[in-house]
Amino acid sequence: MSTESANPKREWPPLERGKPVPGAMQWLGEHWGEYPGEWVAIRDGQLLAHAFTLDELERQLGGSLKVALIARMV
Amino acid sequence: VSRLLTASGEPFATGEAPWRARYALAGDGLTRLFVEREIEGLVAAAAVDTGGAYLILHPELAGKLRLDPNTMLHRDRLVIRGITRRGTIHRLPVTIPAVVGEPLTFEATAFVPELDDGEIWPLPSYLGWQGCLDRIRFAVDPMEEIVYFGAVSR
Repeated sequence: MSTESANPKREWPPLERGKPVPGAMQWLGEHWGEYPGEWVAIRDGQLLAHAFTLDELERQLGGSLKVALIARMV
Repeated sequence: VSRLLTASGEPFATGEAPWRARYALAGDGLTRLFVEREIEGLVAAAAVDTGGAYLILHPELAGKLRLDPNTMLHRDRLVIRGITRRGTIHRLPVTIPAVVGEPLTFEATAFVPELDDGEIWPLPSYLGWQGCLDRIRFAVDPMEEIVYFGAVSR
């Protein structure tokens, strides 16, 4: 299974505090069953990264998990 | 924003956010209601579990928060969805982000399960009743997939 970033070259600014991550819950509602057992990072309705560990996800996101909604898929 | 009013006329809810139904576990026959919650700037999805206790924090996520040892209240044993586990109890500020109205931050009692070496925690993070959801007001609109929330005034 891939551990490559779904969007490896883009840098993401910090999230707006106190606001839901745009498009994140919708993405989760539409993509259940995908990436089983992996952590995913969602923002602007897109999958930014996915990995089996948060350390790897953090690396793919450029060193911070605080740029997307994080969820573990089943 | 003021959504719903109590009998005394005060707002029941001051914010609203989307929720989505997802399976919490592989092989689950029923979906759970998931919402966004933020702890120290880290936003993650969590399942609402009014039959459970505490904010159950996935151990990997807890590791990323680098919890202040001073926030640990004590150790405890908890049964979570049939899994009995020892863990640590913390008091943490949790924020429910708002798409309309104001976000809500409240102090939740959090349980972080302790894992054996190499063990992977199979459950998601949960917002349980005791020590967590019982500290806020909330209501769910299943038609619009919106959760309304507000502070408990005492």
